[in-house]
Amino acid sequence: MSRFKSKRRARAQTPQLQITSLLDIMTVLLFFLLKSFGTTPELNISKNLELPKSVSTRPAVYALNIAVSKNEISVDGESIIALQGISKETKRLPQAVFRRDPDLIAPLFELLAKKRSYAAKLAKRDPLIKFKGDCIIQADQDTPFHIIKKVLYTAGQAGYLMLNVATLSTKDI
Amino acid sequence: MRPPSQRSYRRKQEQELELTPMMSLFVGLVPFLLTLAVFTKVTLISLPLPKVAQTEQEIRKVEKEKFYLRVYIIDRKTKNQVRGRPGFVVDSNAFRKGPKFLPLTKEKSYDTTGLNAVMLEVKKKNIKRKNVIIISGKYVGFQDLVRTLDATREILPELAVNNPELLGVELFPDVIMDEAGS
Repeated sequence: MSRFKSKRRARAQTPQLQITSLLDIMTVLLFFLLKSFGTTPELNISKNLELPKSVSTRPAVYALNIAVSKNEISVDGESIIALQGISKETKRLPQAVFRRDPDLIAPLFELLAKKRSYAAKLAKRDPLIKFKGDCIIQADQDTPFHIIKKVLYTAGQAGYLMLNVATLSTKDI
Repeated sequence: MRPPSQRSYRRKQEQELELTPMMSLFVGLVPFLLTLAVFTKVTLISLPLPKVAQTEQEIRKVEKEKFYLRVYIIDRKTKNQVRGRPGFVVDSNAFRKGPKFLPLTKEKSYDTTGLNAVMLEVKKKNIKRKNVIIISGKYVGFQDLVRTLDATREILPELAVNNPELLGVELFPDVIMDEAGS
């Protein structure tokens, strides 16, 4: 009896994990991730903001970010002005931000001028750094044109002449 | 030869592929690619500020240019002296019968496909020209503005349905923007 038992034990094989199906999943996942692999710089899209859609294919670059969200204007994540109103028709900038020029947003201009002079100083010290005046404007898709125009104008006055507008590509990634 | 009852058969064992090293490679590779994956692609539309003509030669050159192309985006709230209805008004000396008006579509959106077709018509007559002035109403939304920019800068997929070779062809990429009534 004992001999019969030992024979049965010897035949029993250790169970193996079936990883073939897991490997199939991994292969599909790998191809998907390889397809969506990107080396271009990723823009940090500000909170409370929906970018407009466009057919443009020009990749993003590293530059100063001005964000016009649903309720505020910020530069590189630093909040500057709170917007008034909710809808396209009622949204506006507070009157206190304009001083002499009715299109120049004074707090934004001061901050941009400061950042520009700092960038120009850096460019003087290091020949590898060049200040080209690049600037990216991220604005919510419902922002009215009169606010966009004032932001563009203020950036131009502060010395940022290469203005870019951030959009979401509608073409296949 | 032994009779079949006395023959001993060796059990053939199935050879299995050793997949464990491949799995470990995948487990390392997948998180790495996940960190670099781009799911929403952010692209840019460049709007460099126009240069001001400074020398006399530059000023004369600008004055000599007879071509002009203006796209007005009329919104509901801004007073419009051209038609009094929202839509696009395209004005150019390429048209013999005066400015063209493109009303809103049935879905109450701006007719960007129609504008794209008008731009192509102007481009065919003025191949070397690249500049357009977009004059927008005060309350036009940013999405509508970007769609207008797309329609003036290149051929849209909607227009290139029947002529795929036209897709992405450059129209008027040098854009100057202004506000209506300013």
